[in-house]
Amino acid sequence: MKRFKKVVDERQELELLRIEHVVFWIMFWGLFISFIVQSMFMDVPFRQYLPEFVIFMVSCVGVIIGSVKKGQWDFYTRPTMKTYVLTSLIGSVAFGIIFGIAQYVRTEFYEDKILVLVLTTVIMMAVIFAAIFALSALVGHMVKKKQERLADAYGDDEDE
Amino acid sequence: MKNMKMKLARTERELSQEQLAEAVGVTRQTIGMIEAGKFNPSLQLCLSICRVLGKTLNDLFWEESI
Repeated sequence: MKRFKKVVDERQELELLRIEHVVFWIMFWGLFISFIVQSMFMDVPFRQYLPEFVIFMVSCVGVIIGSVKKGQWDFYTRPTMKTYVLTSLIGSVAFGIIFGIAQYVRTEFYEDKILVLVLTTVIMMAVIFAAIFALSALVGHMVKKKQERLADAYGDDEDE
Repeated sequence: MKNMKMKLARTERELSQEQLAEAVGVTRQTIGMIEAGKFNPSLQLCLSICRVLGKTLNDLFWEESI
Protein backbone atom coordinates (compact mmCIF):
# COMPACT_ATOMS: atom_id res chain seq x y z
CA MET A 1 0.00 0.00 0.00
CA LYS A 2 1.30 3.43 -0.91
CA ARG A 3 1.55 5.62 2.16
CA PHE A 4 1.68 8.89 0.23
CA LYS A 5 -0.30 9.52 -2.91
CA LYS A 6 1.40 11.79 -5.44
CA VAL A 7 -0.55 14.92 -6.25
CA VAL A 8 1.69 16.08 -9.11
CA ASP A 9 1.27 15.23 -12.79
CA GLU A 10 4.13 13.88 -14.90
CA ARG A 11 5.29 17.34 -16.06
CA GLN A 12 5.43 18.60 -12.49
CA GLU A 13 7.22 15.46 -11.34
CA LEU A 14 9.85 15.86 -14.06
CA GLU A 15 10.40 19.51 -13.16
CA LEU A 16 10.70 18.66 -9.46
CA LEU A 17 13.24 15.94 -10.26
CA ARG A 18 15.27 18.41 -12.33
CA ILE A 19 15.26 20.97 -9.50
CA GLU A 20 16.29 18.32 -6.97
CA HIS A 21 19.01 17.08 -9.31
CA VAL A 22 20.58 20.55 -9.68
CA VAL A 23 20.30 21.34 -5.98
CA PHE A 24 21.77 17.94 -5.02
CA TRP A 25 24.90 18.54 -7.10
CA ILE A 26 25.30 22.11 -5.79
CA MET A 27 25.10 20.71 -2.24
CA PHE A 28 27.47 17.84 -3.10
CA TRP A 29 30.23 20.04 -4.55
CA GLY A 30 29.63 22.73 -1.93
CA LEU A 31 30.23 20.19 0.83
CA PHE A 32 33.27 18.82 -0.99
CA ILE A 33 34.82 22.29 -1.31
CA SER A 34 33.97 22.96 2.33
CA PHE A 35 35.91 19.82 3.41
CA ILE A 36 38.91 20.79 1.30
CA VAL A 37 39.00 24.32 2.74
CA GLN A 38 38.44 23.16 6.34
CA SER A 39 40.94 20.31 6.26
CA MET A 40 43.70 21.79 4.09
CA PHE A 41 43.61 25.52 4.75
CA MET A 42 41.90 26.10 8.11
CA ASP A 43 43.31 23.35 10.33
CA VAL A 44 39.81 22.53 11.53
CA PRO A 45 39.82 19.30 13.60
CA PHE A 46 38.27 16.38 11.71
CA ARG A 47 35.70 15.65 14.45
CA GLN A 48 34.27 19.14 13.93
CA TYR A 49 33.06 18.33 10.40
CA LEU A 50 32.66 14.58 10.92
CA PRO A 51 28.81 14.55 10.78
CA GLU A 52 28.74 16.39 7.41
CA PHE A 53 31.55 14.14 6.17
CA VAL A 54 29.56 11.01 7.06
CA ILE A 55 26.47 12.37 5.26
CA PHE A 56 28.65 13.24 2.24
CA MET A 57 30.16 9.74 2.12
CA VAL A 58 26.72 8.13 2.51
CA SER A 59 25.47 10.18 -0.47
CA CYS A 60 28.56 9.14 -2.50
CA VAL A 61 27.95 5.46 -1.73
CA GLY A 62 24.23 5.92 -2.43
CA VAL A 63 24.89 7.42 -5.87
CA ILE A 64 27.33 4.61 -6.72
CA ILE A 65 25.01 1.80 -5.54
CA GLY A 66 22.00 3.36 -7.31
CA SER A 67 23.93 3.81 -10.56
CA VAL A 68 25.30 0.25 -10.51
CA LYS A 69 21.85 -1.21 -9.74
CA LYS A 70 20.31 0.58 -12.72
CA GLY A 71 23.31 0.22 -15.05
CA GLN A 72 23.83 3.97 -15.28
CA TRP A 73 27.17 5.76 -15.51
CA ASP A 74 27.07 9.51 -16.18
CA PHE A 75 25.29 12.19 -18.25
CA TYR A 76 28.29 13.11 -20.40
CA THR A 77 30.73 10.18 -20.57
CA ARG A 78 30.77 6.41 -21.05
CA PRO A 79 32.55 3.88 -18.83
CA THR A 80 35.70 3.46 -20.94
CA MET A 81 39.42 3.33 -20.19
CA LYS A 82 39.75 6.87 -21.60
CA THR A 83 37.13 8.15 -19.13
CA TYR A 84 38.82 6.40 -16.18
CA VAL A 85 42.24 7.83 -17.09
CA LEU A 86 40.89 11.35 -17.76
CA THR A 87 38.83 11.41 -14.54
CA SER A 88 41.79 10.17 -12.49
CA LEU A 89 44.11 12.66 -14.17
CA ILE A 90 41.80 15.65 -13.60
CA GLY A 91 41.11 14.59 -10.01
CA SER A 92 44.72 13.96 -9.10
CA VAL A 93 46.04 17.14 -10.77
CA ALA A 94 43.35 19.27 -9.07
CA PHE A 95 44.16 17.61 -5.74
CA GLY A 96 47.90 18.06 -6.32
CA ILE A 97 47.56 21.80 -7.02
CA ILE A 98 45.39 22.39 -3.93
CA PHE A 99 47.58 20.15 -1.75
CA GLY A 100 50.77 21.85 -2.93
CA ILE A 101 49.43 25.36 -2.33
CA ALA A 102 47.97 24.42 1.07
CA GLN A 103 51.21 22.81 2.24
CA TYR A 104 53.29 25.75 1.04
CA VAL A 105 51.03 28.32 2.72
CA ARG A 106 50.56 26.43 6.01
CA THR A 107 53.85 24.64 6.59
CA GLU A 108 57.02 26.65 7.19
CA PHE A 109 59.07 23.48 6.67
CA TYR A 110 58.55 23.69 2.89
CA GLU A 111 59.46 27.39 2.51
CA ASP A 112 63.10 26.69 1.53
CA LYS A 113 62.53 23.06 0.46
CA ILE A 114 60.46 23.45 -2.69
CA LEU A 115 61.89 20.24 -4.19
CA VAL A 116 60.69 18.21 -1.17
CA LEU A 117 57.25 19.83 -1.51
CA VAL A 118 57.11 18.99 -5.22
CA LEU A 119 58.15 15.39 -4.53
CA THR A 120 55.56 15.01 -1.73
CA THR A 121 52.86 16.49 -3.99
CA VAL A 122 53.77 14.16 -6.86
CA ILE A 123 53.61 11.12 -4.54
CA MET A 124 50.21 12.27 -3.22
CA MET A 125 49.00 12.82 -6.80
CA ALA A 126 50.09 9.30 -7.76
CA VAL A 127 48.21 7.83 -4.78
CA ILE A 128 45.06 9.85 -5.60
CA PHE A 129 45.34 8.92 -9.30
CA ALA A 130 45.54 5.21 -8.42
CA ALA A 131 42.61 5.47 -5.98
CA ILE A 132 40.32 7.31 -8.42
CA PHE A 133 41.32 5.03 -11.28
CA ALA A 134 40.71 1.85 -9.28
CA LEU A 135 37.32 3.06 -8.03
CA SER A 136 36.10 4.34 -11.40
CA ALA A 137 37.32 1.21 -13.21
CA LEU A 138 35.57 -1.01 -10.65
CA VAL A 139 32.30 0.93 -10.80
CA GLY A 140 32.53 1.16 -14.61
CA HIS A 141 33.02 -2.61 -14.84
CA MET A 142 29.96 -3.25 -12.62
CA VAL A 143 27.85 -0.75 -14.62
CA LYS A 144 28.81 -2.41 -17.92
CA LYS A 145 27.98 -5.86 -16.50
CA LYS A 146 24.55 -4.57 -15.41
CA GLN A 147 23.99 -2.99 -18.86
CA GLU A 148 24.81 -6.34 -20.48
CA ARG A 149 22.39 -8.13 -18.15
CA LEU A 150 19.64 -5.60 -19.02
CA ALA A 151 20.33 -5.98 -22.75
CA ASP A 152 20.14 -9.78 -22.38
CA ALA A 153 16.98 -9.66 -20.28
CA TYR A 154 15.10 -7.48 -22.79
CA GLY A 155 17.03 -8.47 -25.89
CA ASP A 156 15.86 -9.94 -29.19
CA ASP A 157 15.98 -13.52 -27.90
CA GLU A 158 14.04 -12.78 -24.75
CA ASP A 159 10.90 -14.65 -25.89
CA GLU A 160 12.65 -17.63 -27.38
CA MET B 1 2.32 -4.51 -21.23
CA LYS B 2 4.64 -5.73 -24.00
CA ASN B 3 4.78 -3.73 -27.21
CA MET B 4 4.63 -6.55 -29.75
CA LYS B 5 3.61 -4.15 -32.55
CA MET B 6 6.88 -2.31 -32.27
CA LYS B 7 8.87 -5.54 -32.12
CA LEU B 8 7.03 -6.86 -35.18
CA ALA B 9 7.54 -3.62 -37.13
CA ARG B 10 11.24 -3.71 -36.28
CA THR B 11 11.69 -7.32 -37.37
CA GLU B 12 9.72 -6.62 -40.58
CA ARG B 13 12.30 -3.96 -41.37
CA GLU B 14 15.02 -6.50 -40.54
CA LEU B 15 16.48 -4.23 -37.89
CA SER B 16 18.09 -5.47 -34.70
CA GLN B 17 17.47 -3.66 -31.42
CA GLU B 18 21.00 -2.32 -31.68
CA GLN B 19 20.38 -0.87 -35.18
CA LEU B 20 17.09 0.73 -34.18
CA ALA B 21 18.67 2.12 -31.04
CA GLU B 22 21.47 3.68 -33.06
CA ALA B 23 19.02 5.14 -35.58
CA VAL B 24 16.96 6.91 -32.92
CA GLY B 25 19.90 7.81 -30.64
CA VAL B 26 19.22 5.66 -27.58
CA THR B 27 20.78 2.54 -26.05
CA ARG B 28 19.89 -1.01 -26.97
CA GLN B 29 18.59 -1.57 -23.43
CA THR B 30 16.08 1.28 -23.86
CA ILE B 31 14.64 -0.28 -27.04
CA GLY B 32 14.48 -3.65 -25.28
CA MET B 33 12.71 -2.15 -22.29
CA ILE B 34 10.15 -0.31 -24.49
CA GLU B 35 9.35 -3.56 -26.30
CA ALA B 36 9.11 -5.39 -23.00
CA GLY B 37 6.77 -2.71 -21.63
CA LYS B 38 9.21 -1.77 -18.87
CA PHE B 39 9.75 1.82 -19.99
CA ASN B 40 7.36 4.49 -21.28
CA PRO B 41 9.15 6.52 -23.95
CA SER B 42 8.59 10.25 -24.43
CA LEU B 43 6.44 11.39 -27.34
CA GLN B 44 9.60 12.63 -29.07
CA LEU B 45 11.21 9.19 -28.86
CA CYS B 46 7.97 7.52 -30.02
CA LEU B 47 7.96 9.79 -33.09
CA SER B 48 11.61 8.99 -33.86
CA ILE B 49 10.90 5.25 -33.64
CA CYS B 50 7.83 5.65 -35.89
CA ARG B 51 9.88 7.59 -38.47
CA VAL B 52 12.60 4.93 -38.59
CA LEU B 53 10.14 2.05 -38.76
CA GLY B 54 7.87 3.84 -41.29
CA LYS B 55 4.81 3.58 -39.04
CA THR B 56 2.41 5.98 -37.36
CA LEU B 57 1.95 6.49 -33.64
CA ASN B 58 -1.36 4.65 -33.93
CA ASP B 59 0.33 1.68 -35.57
CA LEU B 60 2.86 1.22 -32.80
CA PHE B 61 1.61 2.79 -29.62
CA TRP B 62 -2.19 2.72 -29.67
CA GLU B 63 -3.79 -0.04 -27.67
CA GLU B 64 -6.94 -1.33 -29.35
CA SER B 65 -9.60 -2.94 -27.21
CA ILE B 66 -10.33 -6.45 -28.42
